Amino acid sequence: MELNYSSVFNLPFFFLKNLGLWQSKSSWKIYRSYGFILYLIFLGLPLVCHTKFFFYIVKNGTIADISHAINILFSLYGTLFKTFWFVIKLESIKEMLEVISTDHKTHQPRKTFLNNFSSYGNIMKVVKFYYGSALWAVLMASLNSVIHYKRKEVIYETWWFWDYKSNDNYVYWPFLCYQILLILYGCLVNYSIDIIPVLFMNFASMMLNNLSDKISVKNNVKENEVKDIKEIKNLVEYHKKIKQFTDDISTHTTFVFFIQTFISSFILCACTFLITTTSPINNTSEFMRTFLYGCSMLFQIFLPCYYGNEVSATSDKISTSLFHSNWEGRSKKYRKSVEIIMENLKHSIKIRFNNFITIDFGTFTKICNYAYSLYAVFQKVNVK
Amino acid sequence: MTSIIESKYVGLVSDLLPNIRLMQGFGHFIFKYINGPIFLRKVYSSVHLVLLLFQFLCILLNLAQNTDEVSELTANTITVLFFTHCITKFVYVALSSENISRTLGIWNQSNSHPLFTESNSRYHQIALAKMRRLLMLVMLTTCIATVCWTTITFFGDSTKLWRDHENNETLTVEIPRLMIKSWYPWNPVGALYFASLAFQFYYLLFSMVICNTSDVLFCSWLIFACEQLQHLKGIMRPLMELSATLDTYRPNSAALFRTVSASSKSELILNDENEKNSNYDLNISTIYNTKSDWGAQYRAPTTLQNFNGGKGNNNNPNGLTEKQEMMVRSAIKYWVERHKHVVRLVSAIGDTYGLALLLHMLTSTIMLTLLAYQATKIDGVNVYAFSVIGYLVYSLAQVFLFCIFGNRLIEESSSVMEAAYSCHWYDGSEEAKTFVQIVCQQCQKAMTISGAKFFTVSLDLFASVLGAVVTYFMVLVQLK
Repeated sequence: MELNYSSVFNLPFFFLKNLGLWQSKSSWKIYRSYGFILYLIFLGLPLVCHTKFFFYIVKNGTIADISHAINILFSLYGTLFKTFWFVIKLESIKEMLEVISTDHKTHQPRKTFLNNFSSYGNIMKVVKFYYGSALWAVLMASLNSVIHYKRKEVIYETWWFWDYKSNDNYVYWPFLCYQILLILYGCLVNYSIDIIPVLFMNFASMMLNNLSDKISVKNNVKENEVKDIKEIKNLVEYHKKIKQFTDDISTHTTFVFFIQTFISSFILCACTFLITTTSPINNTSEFMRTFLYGCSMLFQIFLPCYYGNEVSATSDKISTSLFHSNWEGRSKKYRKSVEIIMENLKHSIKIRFNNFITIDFGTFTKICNYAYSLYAVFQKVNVK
Repeated sequence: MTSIIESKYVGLVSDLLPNIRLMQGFGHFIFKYINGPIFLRKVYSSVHLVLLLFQFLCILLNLAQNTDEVSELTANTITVLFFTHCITKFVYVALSSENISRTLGIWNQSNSHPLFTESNSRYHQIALAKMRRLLMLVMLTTCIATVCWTTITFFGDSTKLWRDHENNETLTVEIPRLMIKSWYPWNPVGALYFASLAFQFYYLLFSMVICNTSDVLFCSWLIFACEQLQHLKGIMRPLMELSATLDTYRPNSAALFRTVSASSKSELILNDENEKNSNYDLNISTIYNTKSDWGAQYRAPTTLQNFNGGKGNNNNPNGLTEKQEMMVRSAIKYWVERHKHVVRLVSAIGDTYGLALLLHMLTSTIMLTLLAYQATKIDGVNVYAFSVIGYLVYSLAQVFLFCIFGNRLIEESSSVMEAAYSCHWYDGSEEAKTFVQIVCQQCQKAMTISGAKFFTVSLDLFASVLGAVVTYFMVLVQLK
């Protein structure tokens, strides 16, 4: 059974291609126009309307209204920046996919090394759960509005060209359908783009596991200098390749994480505030909707932090596996080279944004901390 | 005439000459690198110092006179702290001008190796271009900031808040429309008003330029050090390939002894036949040039070991001549010596400018705290909002400038190890492998610039400053 990691990307790329975001130089003009029109209708237009609404609500609304507005505003702007990023970086992403497919050809893991296969299975489950949670959140938001159709409740309050709260049904239902579609578009685009760095990071940790395994294979060879040097060469070249791959991840894909951090902290703060002020019994659907939205934001931030941490942790294991391999019986040149490699392995491989913010659990706790501080400020201001 | 005189400056001084001239032109106490009477220059700088101190004292007096009203007190304190930077930098450069000229003189004599001169000059040119670009950018920003400050003075009301103790209420009192709220021993009306305006414009421009040129000098030093590290990383691979020729057969080893430049086709090392024809003495000084720093005496190059034990006894698998062998061995020595030179430069930079950074950070921290308080009082898009945001952005930009270059130095120095690891060291000689191992061990510790040992100049510092400002802002919003 051969591992084909590229199939993990099928689901995100399927959504992105069908939503018109797979814009490369060779795309047809019809496809480009289709993508552009979809973008304008489902992202550009709501963004403009909601920004106008936000300025209005900051002056005239309560803290709860402002929190709701913040949730949607930051999500929309986040999606905007992420889509720009995706279109700009599409070629780099394709190059990284090439690296994955060549790695499969040159460094297939041993059949008995099951770790990578289970990791592959796990990531597929994570992707399915991820999309499932997204669609579930969209469903809950839509159901909430549909249940309360008599109150002319929409998914989120915003400025619109006509008054959708008037008694005419032919004004309300189209607007609600439009909102459902746009929430679906935003959700799928957002989640698809967010999962890409996570999948790359998981692959990096799989490559590192593969390397560890190849090192720890116990060969009972006699002292043979030429073979030793060749082995060292293969080891070092693979290690360098993995480092290059993680550098590419850091350079090309961490911007998404940075944007997501920013919007997640604000949205988490707003959601926490709304959850504490909404009664779960009286406004069950609204409570559930906000709660699910907060949870999905948290999950969106948690995934890259977890997999970034995995990369660092797995790279630390290589040194141990090298030490536990049979270097004692090898030639002097081999042992000398092992010394140099172990010197280099002292530094764990980190995924960093701009050589500055490391993507691991430390950052995750900082984000939660920051969201809580913002929430505390909101609480105090609300009390006054 | 000027060009002949200017060309006598070497090393860092000639690279940074525009910056130094700018500093001297705006009154800094740097009296080296000039032709002409020093006494006049001293008078010029002293006059500037006196004028700047006078205006600073006027601002302080204004602060002392308006302590009753809290918002006036805060605003005036922020102004005082803003202009403290200038006085601090002015006095600091004057007191440590010896240190500065010593740091500038460190790179006057650097070692060279015929195989790496092209790479060296390439990175030197890159550093030069970056330094010039940085200087232009910062000067442009300073001029724009001065112009904006002057322009914004003519918008909005020119008033101050005054606490009337008799009626216990706050009144709005008119004050002359000047850039900085300041007390003057004369009444700024009529012609004196325009004189005060011109004086304040001079003060604004000179304070900001004085402050920023010394920061740019510091950043330019760091740019130079980083590009030298890039040069060292760049020559690592050819170094390994060279060293591999010592004990491993290489089919094309003659090509390695050409210069790295593609256009040059000349062989650096003559073949044996040519050697016999010309009376070439096996003199190491023609291969490798070592000159000590600090202008000390030239050391006779007798330190390289002769492994072969005499001429004509060649165990080399590639058939290298003795001269070629010497060249290979001296290449590693060149690398290590150059790295030591860079480390010396960086520690000199830290010793020279660290205290100035510490003082800058202390002043900035207090000012940013007060600015956070002022920011909570912004109630709309008006002159007040623009001036608070302007102060904030300018102060954070000043801190960001030296943090980003400090961070780049840390990144470059710790990536030397990666460069050593990623060249084909496993194909190199045993000497090269030992060299790589020692480099890996040494370069794990990054080169840093510290603010007088209190803090490390890096982006973490900037992030903590920014985080602190945001925290104070949030706390003050709650207290309001």
